Amino acid sequence: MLSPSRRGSAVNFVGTGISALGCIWAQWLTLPGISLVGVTVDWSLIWVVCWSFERSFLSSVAAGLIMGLVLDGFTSGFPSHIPGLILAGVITSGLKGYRLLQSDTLAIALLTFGMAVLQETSLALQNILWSAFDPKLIWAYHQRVSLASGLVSCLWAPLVWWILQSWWGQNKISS
Amino acid sequence: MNVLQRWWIRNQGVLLGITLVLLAALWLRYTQAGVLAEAWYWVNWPVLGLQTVPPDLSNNRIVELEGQISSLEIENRRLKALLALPENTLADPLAAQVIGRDGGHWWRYLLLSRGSQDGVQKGNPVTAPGGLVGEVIAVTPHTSRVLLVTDPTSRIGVVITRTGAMGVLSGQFKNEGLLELFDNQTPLKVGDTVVTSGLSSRFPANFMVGKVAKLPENSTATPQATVRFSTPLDGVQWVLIYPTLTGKGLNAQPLP
Repeated sequence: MLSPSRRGSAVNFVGTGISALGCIWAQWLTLPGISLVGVTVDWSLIWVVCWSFERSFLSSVAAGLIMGLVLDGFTSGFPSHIPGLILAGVITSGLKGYRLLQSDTLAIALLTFGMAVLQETSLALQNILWSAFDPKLIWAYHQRVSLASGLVSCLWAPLVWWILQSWWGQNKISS
Repeated sequence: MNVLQRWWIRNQGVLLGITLVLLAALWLRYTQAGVLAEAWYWVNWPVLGLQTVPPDLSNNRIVELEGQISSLEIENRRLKALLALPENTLADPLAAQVIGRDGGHWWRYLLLSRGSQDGVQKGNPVTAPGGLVGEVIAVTPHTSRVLLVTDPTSRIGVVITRTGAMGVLSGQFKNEGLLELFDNQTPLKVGDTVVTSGLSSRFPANFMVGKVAKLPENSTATPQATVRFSTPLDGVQWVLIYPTLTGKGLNAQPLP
């Protein structure tokens, strides 16, 4: 039989994994209200931002890498999600010492907007550098998509943050 | 040394956890996340049962045109028999529901509710009311993933029905594609119908793809045009998969 603290951390681990999987599956969901000009919420990016918000450099990099690998499995692997997600995790965790905002929820929403724009820029840059496409077409598309993705993701980020925060908070108390 | 040892004792659990999850993620990456697609199918399974047949979208005009086509098909078959040309009949398509679409914006694909258990294979063409949708690129027992014609990596061999000119149509993320013709003999017109050529072995011939929507203002070295796809890909809920048609283009057709 596992000791209570071990059991607590196992429950925490499984719950965290399920929440990450939920964010990956949500990528396939199309519901009214979660898309703007055909661009849907970047759930996995929100998850990485929430995870990295109060965690160390190493676990933020790991989260970005793992999430990126799974997402690349769904697509052709090019352009890759990995660099953008790792950067998002590293920047979010690096900004720990510079909390200018009182409210965590507001900080999460703002960070998600910034990181969504960063992720779209990383994808667009890979397309420009290593594909046969007209850079002008990609750049014009990027401007529209990054703004829409940032806006629609930052609207939904507080909900994900609230769910994850209450889960992690509860486990901290119980263990 | 002591410091390193203490760091290791303190962090070994975390590092072990990260390594395990990382290995699992690598496995998902190289199996194209088939397990997650399968699981998503079973999550959607109760809803899939609510509607088991595709909705009938035909109206009087379509019924009339279908009648005309069937008489033309009979005539066509008789003429082909007279000339001893090979028969090119399509197999019965499989109706499939769309259970997921890409949330990202740099790829265009759909996840369908039919997989290898129904006979779907990699490379099968997929259509919807309106015309060609794309090509199956990955299969699990109950799901299949379709690369849409609007994806930038999708390139289709096409024919302009009015002139017989051939070209390549590539996706451009949005509901319009870029057509590049091989020769410049007959000028294109807005409204020309574009169908699959069947010369490439990827798609069977004469699947409706779209219509020429815009011609470039300045003439370019290779004749180009913008083609609007005839299927509204953003809202498509039901599609048809042609399971036995992999590589059955004109090239693969044995002559009698």
